[in-house]
Amino acid sequence: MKGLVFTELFRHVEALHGANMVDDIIEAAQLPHDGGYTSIGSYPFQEAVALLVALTRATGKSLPDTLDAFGTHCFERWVNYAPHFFTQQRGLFDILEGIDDFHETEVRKLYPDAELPSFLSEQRTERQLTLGYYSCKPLSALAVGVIKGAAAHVQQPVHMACEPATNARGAYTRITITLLDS
Amino acid sequence: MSLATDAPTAVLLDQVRRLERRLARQTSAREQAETLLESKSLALHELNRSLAQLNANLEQRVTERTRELDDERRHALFLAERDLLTGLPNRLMFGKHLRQVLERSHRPGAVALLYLDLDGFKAVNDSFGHACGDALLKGVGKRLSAAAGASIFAARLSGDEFAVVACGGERPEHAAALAERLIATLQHPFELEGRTVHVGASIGIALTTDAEESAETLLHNADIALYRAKVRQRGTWELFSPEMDGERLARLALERDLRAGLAKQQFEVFYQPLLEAGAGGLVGFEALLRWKHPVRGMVPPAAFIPIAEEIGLIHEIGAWVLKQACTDAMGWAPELRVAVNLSPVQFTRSTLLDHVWSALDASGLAAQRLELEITESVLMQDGEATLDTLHTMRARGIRISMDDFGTGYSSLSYLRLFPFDKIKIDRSFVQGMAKDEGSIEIIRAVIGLGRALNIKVLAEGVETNEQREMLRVEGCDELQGYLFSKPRPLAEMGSLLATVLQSGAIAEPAPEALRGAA
Repeated sequence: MKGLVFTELFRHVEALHGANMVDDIIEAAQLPHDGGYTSIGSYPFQEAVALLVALTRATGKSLPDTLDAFGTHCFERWVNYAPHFFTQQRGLFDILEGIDDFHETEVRKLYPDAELPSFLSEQRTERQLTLGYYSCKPLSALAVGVIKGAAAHVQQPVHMACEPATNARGAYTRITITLLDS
Repeated sequence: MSLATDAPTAVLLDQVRRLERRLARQTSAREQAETLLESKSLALHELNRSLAQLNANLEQRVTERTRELDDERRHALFLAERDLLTGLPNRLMFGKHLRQVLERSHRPGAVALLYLDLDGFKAVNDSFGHACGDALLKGVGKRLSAAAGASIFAARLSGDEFAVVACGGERPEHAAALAERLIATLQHPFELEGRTVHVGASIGIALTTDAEESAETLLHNADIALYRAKVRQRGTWELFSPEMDGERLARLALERDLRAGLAKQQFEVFYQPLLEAGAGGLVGFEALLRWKHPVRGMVPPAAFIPIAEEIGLIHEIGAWVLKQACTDAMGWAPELRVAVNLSPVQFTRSTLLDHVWSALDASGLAAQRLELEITESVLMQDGEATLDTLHTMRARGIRISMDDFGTGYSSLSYLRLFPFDKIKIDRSFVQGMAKDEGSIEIIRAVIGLGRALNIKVLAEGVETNEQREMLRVEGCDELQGYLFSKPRPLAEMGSLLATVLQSGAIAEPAPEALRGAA
């Protein structure tokens, strides 16, 4: 897993809970090293799991809620990094359908070996979008957080539903986003 | 130490510990980043080096390919101006060179153009095949280059046509001397694919007459002179003069009329009787082609047969004569034969046998009544193929005669090559008989030869009773000549045939009476 995920997690935790919380979860996670991460490095996924578990223990929040919040943080960072990709004029569904494009053009050039998740549009109506979320890691809550972040970014209330699904590519999470009247 | 002072100290210590750990994490992260950056740098450096190498390779390849393309372009340019077969300059380069030379020289006669055409090339191609023809052209190219020398420009224009440009001669004699040298060098036989091949060359020469002469005019003039040389006597050169153009046009008109003559039925077969020397009995007739043109009148065979041979019309004319002669002979007494002349050119095509068979089949004439007369020049071409053709004819029962015997180069050796049925002694010997001892000796020898080889001997051109008597005494088998009858149209042969049919012989030929018979 790219070091960027760890550094972003620490940035998120520090913003929410203060710098001491970062120290604490690093200590609690019992990492095989002192917890120094660089964004361009690569680290075992297990270390991320250990840190997240430590965080849930320290905060008392569930893992999905934790991931959800981190997902929203991630989306905000993307907007910060590449605002032209996420202008509010694009509308929620266009932004969500454009995430893969953002990954391929903006993320890939910095992190060519990153294992990036994918958001594929399955069905789209004026009011509803069905996305398939594909990732080699069980982080669908993180995806939900990303979508929430996007909805908040364009100030669009939504209802979301997730269900496990399978197709030729294998198992994935189907997320249905329905626009709500504001 | 009180709790009040201890608590802040513990917090402070904890804070210090945390800061130390954060610093350690930052340091570790920075070191990791540096290591990663270094390895990335190394990788980039390697990549850059291999890119530079690739670039260098690519540049070298581009340089090489550019050179190759340049070589190819230059080679293509070279080929575009060269005749591939002989390696001589081609018509394109010849034209360029001639124009340049003409631009540079302004004195009349300063440039001589020699237009050369091979004599007998077509026969070599037809008889021995194109590979042999090509080999001949290569050989000719080599000899021309060698004979022309470095200061003179030789090119192959097309087929068997070559051109030589000579500068600075100024006098016609120089060009003529060069022409003779070229003709002489091509007269020597060529050894090609194990064969000895003889060809010759005719040359037309044109000299510049004024400063304004164009390359096209010079070439045209040389062509006309060449034409004249070929018509007059092959193996010679002619220098262009303005009046030649008229002759050339006349010849072209003759060719045109000749082609039309066959379609317009202007040809006719005349017949001249062949008689037994002893009893004077009629044995047959020689068919002789005549051309009666509505404006030209009666054109002598010597004036049109060579042209028909040259333009290939002889094949059609020959087929027509065969057919006509066989058909006419069917109206004669069954013991009478008809003799038809074959041109050497007819032997160059495989259609000859078809023409002979078709003449026999269409007329119904028995093959034994047909005699085909050839001259030794027929055997001088592709001997083997010709012999095959002759044997095939013989196998069907056709008789083969050697015409104009004694006028060629090596008649005797041809007698060994093929078992002729008849030898026809050339008229020159018969006419010289009374005047010189040599002729009668030769006639005597030929008759002896005929007896020894079991070949009938006929004497041509018998004009006097004295000649007839001498030939009879010498033992000649058959006679032919104006003494008995000149060649006449079939319609005029009626009375002669009637005489034969009644008496079976022309006992005492009465030339006047025969000539008068209509």
